[in-house]
Amino acid sequence: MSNACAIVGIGQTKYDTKRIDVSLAGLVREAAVRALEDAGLTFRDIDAVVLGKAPDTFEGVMMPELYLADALGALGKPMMRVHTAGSVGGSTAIVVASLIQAGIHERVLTVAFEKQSESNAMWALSPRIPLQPTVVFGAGGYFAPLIRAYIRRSGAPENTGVLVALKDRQNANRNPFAHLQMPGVTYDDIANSPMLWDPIRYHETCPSSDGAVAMVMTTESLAKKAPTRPAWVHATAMRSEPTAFAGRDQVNPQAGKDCAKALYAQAGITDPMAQIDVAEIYVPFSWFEPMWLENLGITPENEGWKPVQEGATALGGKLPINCSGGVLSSNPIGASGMIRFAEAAMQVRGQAGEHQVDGAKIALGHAYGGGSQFFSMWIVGSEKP
Amino acid sequence: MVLAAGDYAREVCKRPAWIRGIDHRIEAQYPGARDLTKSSSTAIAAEKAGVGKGGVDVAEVYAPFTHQELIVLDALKLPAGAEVNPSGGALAAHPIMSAGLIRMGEVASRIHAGEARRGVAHATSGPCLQQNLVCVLEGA
Repeated sequence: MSNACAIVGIGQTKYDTKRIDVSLAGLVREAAVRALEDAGLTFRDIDAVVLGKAPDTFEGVMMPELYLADALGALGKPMMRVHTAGSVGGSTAIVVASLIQAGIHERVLTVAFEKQSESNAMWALSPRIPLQPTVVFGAGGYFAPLIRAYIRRSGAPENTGVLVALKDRQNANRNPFAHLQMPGVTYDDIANSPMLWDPIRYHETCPSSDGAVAMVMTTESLAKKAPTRPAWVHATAMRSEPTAFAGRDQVNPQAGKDCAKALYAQAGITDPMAQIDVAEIYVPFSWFEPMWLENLGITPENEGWKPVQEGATALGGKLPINCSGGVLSSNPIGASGMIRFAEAAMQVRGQAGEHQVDGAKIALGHAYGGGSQFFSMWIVGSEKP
Repeated sequence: MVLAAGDYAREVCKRPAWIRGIDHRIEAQYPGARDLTKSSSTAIAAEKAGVGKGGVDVAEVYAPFTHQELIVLDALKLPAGAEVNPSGGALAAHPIMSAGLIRMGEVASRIHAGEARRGVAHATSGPCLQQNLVCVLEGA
């Protein structure tokens, strides 16, 4: 029904605590230029620019697309900004895919970024919303009780989170762009790190990062002329639900389950564990890996911790997850979702270097945001669907 | 606003307002880099959206200041006879983030009511008309 869409260029910045060497404009341009070089294109070849980022309060620059239009070569072109909290990087990529699939544009540049060092995310995430308690305890404080509920519900061994963190930190050592590099990291380093929000320990937590990621997406005929192997979009899905309603299951949200179901139906996936070669999923706290494995329907309920304990989600396992080191190792919030989508595309392009899964043909990119309420996902493949 | 495609729109709406063209363009942010007496992004968007391909019965433009209405109308190149901002426009009501969608809603409502056959809606964002959208709506 719709036209094919391919990813032909990907660019990432080095993620770091403070990128004081660049402004916001310099940061997004760094990723954009790298994506264009990868695609063998220049700003002149681009029809439209789509920007994604999380709340403006993270940098204190309102409607940053207005300021960034010049740096992203958008003058005289269509430019749009997308915002769906932490899932925004994913939903931005899906907006771009739909622009290509609908035949509106032929080559679109998309960039997602966050420069967390410009502000204080804890303050930025604590707005006063009428009739709701103010979140004054940060994302870790918000999600810790949900993890505790998951452990009680599933009977997961208490060290499951440590195993995820160890794997992701070891993976990050293979990814030159990853923010946190911990050469020689051990199980004990993670298990003995200070408790921040019970049961989340320091090394089971994502950092605050500065960084940007960019992609160039295009049509079938132009993808065939690209200098490198494209990744093809096989399926996209987004679902949302409110932050609070009676009976809401925040451990395993309905919106996430519905989103995965719609995604697999589109991609013709009936057994995700067997059919997906590699996945990049949004895991800001280690325990979210087993939780999302269940929400994504990859394992039955209360069994997401089993593949983690068996090592099935490590590089070389049955379904390697977050080979890049994941959100746990680099978290420029507004970019984090698109980094997942881009890393999935890099895997099926055979472009992931030291953290490549050999022969990966089908990859899942996943992002979530808000109070586990916005979900965006895509399946990309090495062959045209 | 509720948007629907093809047959579904015909089924649920007696006189749907069809989006025949829609385009959105941005200019440099720094006002000193632009000619502020003209709106080049509106002009590109108007051409891409196909404003000049037919007559225009009604136009709703998002001009929070009076001089901006003159600049935008210049760039839209509306044919003679178009009624401009019968709603009172942004000068009469200005909830900023809704003001552009209100322009589209006002034009669509007139098409729904059979008062207009073809109309143009415009929206703007950024300092001194930095970013502009033009939408052409038509009845059957």
